[in-house]
Amino acid sequence: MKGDRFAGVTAVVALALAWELVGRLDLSLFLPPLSRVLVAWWRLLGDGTLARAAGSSLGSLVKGFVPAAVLGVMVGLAMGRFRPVRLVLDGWVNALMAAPLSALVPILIALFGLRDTVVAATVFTFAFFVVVVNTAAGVRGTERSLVEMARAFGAGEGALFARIYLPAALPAIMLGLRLGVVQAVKGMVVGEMLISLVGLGERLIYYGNTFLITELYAVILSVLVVAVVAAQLAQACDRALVRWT
Amino acid sequence: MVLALRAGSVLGFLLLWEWAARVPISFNFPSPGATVVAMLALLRSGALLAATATSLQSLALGFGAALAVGVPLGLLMGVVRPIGRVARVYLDLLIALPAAALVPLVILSVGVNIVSSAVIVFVFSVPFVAMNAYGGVRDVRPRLVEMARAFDASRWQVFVRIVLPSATPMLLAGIRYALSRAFVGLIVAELLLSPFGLGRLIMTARSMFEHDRMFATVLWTLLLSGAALAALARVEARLLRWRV
Amino acid sequence: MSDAGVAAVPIAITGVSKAFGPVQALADVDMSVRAGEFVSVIGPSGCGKTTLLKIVAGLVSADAGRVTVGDRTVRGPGRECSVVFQDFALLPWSSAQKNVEFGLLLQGVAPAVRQERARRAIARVGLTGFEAAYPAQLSGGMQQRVGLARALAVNPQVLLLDEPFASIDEQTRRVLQDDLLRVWSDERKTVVLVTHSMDEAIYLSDRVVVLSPRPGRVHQVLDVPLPRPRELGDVRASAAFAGLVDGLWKMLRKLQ
Repeated sequence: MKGDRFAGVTAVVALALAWELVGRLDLSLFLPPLSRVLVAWWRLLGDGTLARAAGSSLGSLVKGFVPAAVLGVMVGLAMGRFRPVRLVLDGWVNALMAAPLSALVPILIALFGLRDTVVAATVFTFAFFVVVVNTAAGVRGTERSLVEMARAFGAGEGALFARIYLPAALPAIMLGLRLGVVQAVKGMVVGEMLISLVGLGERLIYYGNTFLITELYAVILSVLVVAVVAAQLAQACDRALVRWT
Repeated sequence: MVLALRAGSVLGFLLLWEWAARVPISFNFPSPGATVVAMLALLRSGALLAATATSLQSLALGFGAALAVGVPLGLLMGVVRPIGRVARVYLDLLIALPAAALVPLVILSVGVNIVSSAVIVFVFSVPFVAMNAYGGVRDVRPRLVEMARAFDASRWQVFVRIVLPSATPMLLAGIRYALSRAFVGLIVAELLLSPFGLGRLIMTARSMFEHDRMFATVLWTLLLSGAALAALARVEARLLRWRV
Repeated sequence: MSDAGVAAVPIAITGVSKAFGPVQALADVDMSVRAGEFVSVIGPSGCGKTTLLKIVAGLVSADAGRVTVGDRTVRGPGRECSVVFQDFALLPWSSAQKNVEFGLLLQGVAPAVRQERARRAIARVGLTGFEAAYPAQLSGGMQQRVGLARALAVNPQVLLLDEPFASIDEQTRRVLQDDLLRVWSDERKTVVLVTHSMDEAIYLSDRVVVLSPRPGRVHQVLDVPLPRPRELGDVRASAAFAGLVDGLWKMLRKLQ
């Protein structure tokens, strides 16, 4: 574990150094040295550009991910526990989880208009199915002997759900939420770039169109930071909730 | 009972769609019938097939490159552990990064052509190919390697006879997942930049408010990726018959 | 034990049959267990002995026949029976203490009472000091002690044990068998134990019921006239014990 962390830090530092050095060679207009990117990043932080964009992005992220998580867990629990529900839904869910959902964004735009609602809807679409699939798998993976044991002690359907199925599925649910967050951030970026109106995605398009390369890199780095922080947060929640393994 | 529920599920979806088109929740929402009619028209005019051919070229180029780079890289990472420990950091970053953010950069440096879509497809899919190849090699049962060593197998023999077959199931699963990501990347790239391909067809239809054609193309795209993934799953099942 | 004061009840099994699809697991099983008696059920694998136990526990319903525990006809799980499972069936996300409390929790026992009774049951099986441990931190033998404590904590009249020591190493198994005997002689519950170990069946039981293979029927009932308490003396070394195990072995061999 410790060795892994060391390797991680070393690898990132090495990448940064290599980026800086290659950038200074001035090989290409499209690879500015890291230091210039960081200066641009600092400037964008200072003048509030990044804060405004990230604020809008995070708002959409929350607006899309929270319903995706809540609904996803509910649908997943129902699918895991009740066979008819599973039979009706699992074909769709599995197909859509693997499908290029980015193709649905134009449909979302047609439905909601060119507004930031589309971004939240894209986030929802990207995150929902992963949560459903993992939750359902978690419920189905519940040890049968635990269910039998609880029934032997007189547990009814409600107690079975609360005391056996839910805790047994919790690690899988948390895994689904972690994967869901990663997907959600991707949905956020795709949605914002396609409506090109708000958030970090709009900045990407704008700086791309105006050839402001260092600013473009600065926004890409910001997107990466948002993605990594969101994933780390989800992982921390997972660790706090699932401590028995 | 099972069949009835599954059939009912499809029927229910179509009814829901039809109902949604009639309410109408939005004037931009065509009925399933109108969508199918539009799809047939697009097929007959050749526009859909031409766009599909273009898109598949980018996909083949990008995904082929992802396989050519990802498989050897992942295997190398698994066999030479120090390389694995370092390279996985970069791959993890690439997996975490919403790769769509790189589209403007790719356009700037490669230009707007089939290659730029292919580059995006590559970036979307290569980390999953490499990481699964790496994971497959790492998860080889040490007992099997020991057994082969006990029979005096050379390093190369251990790799070919033990490591590679053991890693294959995970590698193939990675390739299938990577293909699904490749389609995501392809569509993102085409929606954002491409003057051709399925993404362009979708965006053109949208900008001209031909929503039936837009729906038809989106549906076609989803079916196309579904068919490709299903085909790959069959190949995979055939290759892994020994797992029963 | 202040809460040991429940009278043991008899079990009557009459004409019980059960099929799983085309496979007839049990056919017309008749068997009775007296109040406070320790009975083992043994038979070749696939003879339906675990199914029979689950029918008594109310976890599986019989196709035909009738089971009464005390004066209740079994139609589902009831409070007079507790089950100990072969794979322990411990909640991995709960501490030993919470696992032992589980049955009481489902019965709606108040938290303070629950904790106290669980603590006593834990002491009873010799696990005091391990209350906070998660199952993954306990050895197999200790995990099954938790399972036994959980069954005892609800103070049942009948204890149903489904191959409880099958996945535990031999030395630990002997210790647990003696612990079980001690608990039983203190509290005189009615016990039905399903096992595939001849040694275990003879050592623990008053009577051994031998089931024939598919479909399971009662082949023979063997009395075990060994003196009690067996856990104190060296019963296993006695000629009588060896003779009984040998007799049982010959009986089972003929059934294969």
